Amino acid sequence: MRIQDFDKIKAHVTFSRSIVRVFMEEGEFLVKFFRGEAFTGESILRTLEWRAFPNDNVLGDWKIEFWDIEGKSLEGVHHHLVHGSRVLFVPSPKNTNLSMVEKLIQECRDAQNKGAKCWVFFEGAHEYGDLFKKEGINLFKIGGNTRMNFPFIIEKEF
Amino acid sequence: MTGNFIKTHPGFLERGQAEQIISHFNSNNYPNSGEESDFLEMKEVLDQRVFEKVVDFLNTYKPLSIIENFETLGETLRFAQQCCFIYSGSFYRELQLACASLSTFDKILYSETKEPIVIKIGDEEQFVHKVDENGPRNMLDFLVIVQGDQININFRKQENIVKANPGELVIIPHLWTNEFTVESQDTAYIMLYRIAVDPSRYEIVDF
Repeated sequence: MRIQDFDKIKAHVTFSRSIVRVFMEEGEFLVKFFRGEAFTGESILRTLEWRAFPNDNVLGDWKIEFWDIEGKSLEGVHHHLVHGSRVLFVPSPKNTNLSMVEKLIQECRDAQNKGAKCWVFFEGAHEYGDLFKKEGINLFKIGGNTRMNFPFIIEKEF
Repeated sequence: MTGNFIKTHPGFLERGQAEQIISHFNSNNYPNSGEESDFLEMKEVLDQRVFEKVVDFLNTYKPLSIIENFETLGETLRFAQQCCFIYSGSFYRELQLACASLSTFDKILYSETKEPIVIKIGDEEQFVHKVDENGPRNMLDFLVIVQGDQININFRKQENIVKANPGELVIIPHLWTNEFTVESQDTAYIMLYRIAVDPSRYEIVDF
């Protein structure tokens, strides 16, 4: 997704495939990654370059700072916050579908407690439609919400 | 690229669902509110299951060059969500077969609907399918056999016949959808989901 200051800084941030990735569409910046408030790493990124750090599929807030390449002036900050964001879970079963769904619902509850809106997709999800509905968890439908962005995507075994 | 692969799923449609579809198809009156609610709920589940199969098919066989390098199911899901939609358009038929959309409120002409299409094939009748040349280039057809025995789906250009049973879902990849016929020894009902895929809708970074 585009960062909050996209008008000023042409960068994108994605949280998927177990990594947080920053992609520079245009420009050059010293990009600093923070997991919560903890500094994770930094890199100078130029047009069409990207850098990523592992997120371990742990849902949490990240902060991305964009400095001039000498690191003297902070040009913009992107707060990648769970609160108010859509989170998409693409689970696969470690054992049975039933045990996967139980763990998935627990993880969705944790995400909801952090203020996230949860979506799930997996083969056979419809069989648990009533359960997901009761938990306030959304299912994907063909042709619906095609431009909806998902700042957080968790794809892992449950 | 493995775009010519046909996939079948026996037992996709349950008997109760088949009865609901046929009843709805043959009903001349609008269903009462209870039936309408049940029907919509059933159809929503079917749409969801078809979408799951769309994603699975794209992820497994990667029939389009744009998704060949996708590594995760999430990437394919992102693509399918943005780029796949149920397409109606017009297509050729040889006989005046009974057709209807799965819309609850109207039985409108199938050439105008964006709903899946239900087609009734009588004894000795034949449903001939040809994609409109003005339609989308990338098409996946999802054919659900609602009722009927000894159904043959004949892909003329490939000189191949696929036999299908009641309740079975037959996924026809886009290179096979150009022309096929469906024949049945007895009265049959089939439901056709035509999934168009438009890669130009794909936005890689803003999902």
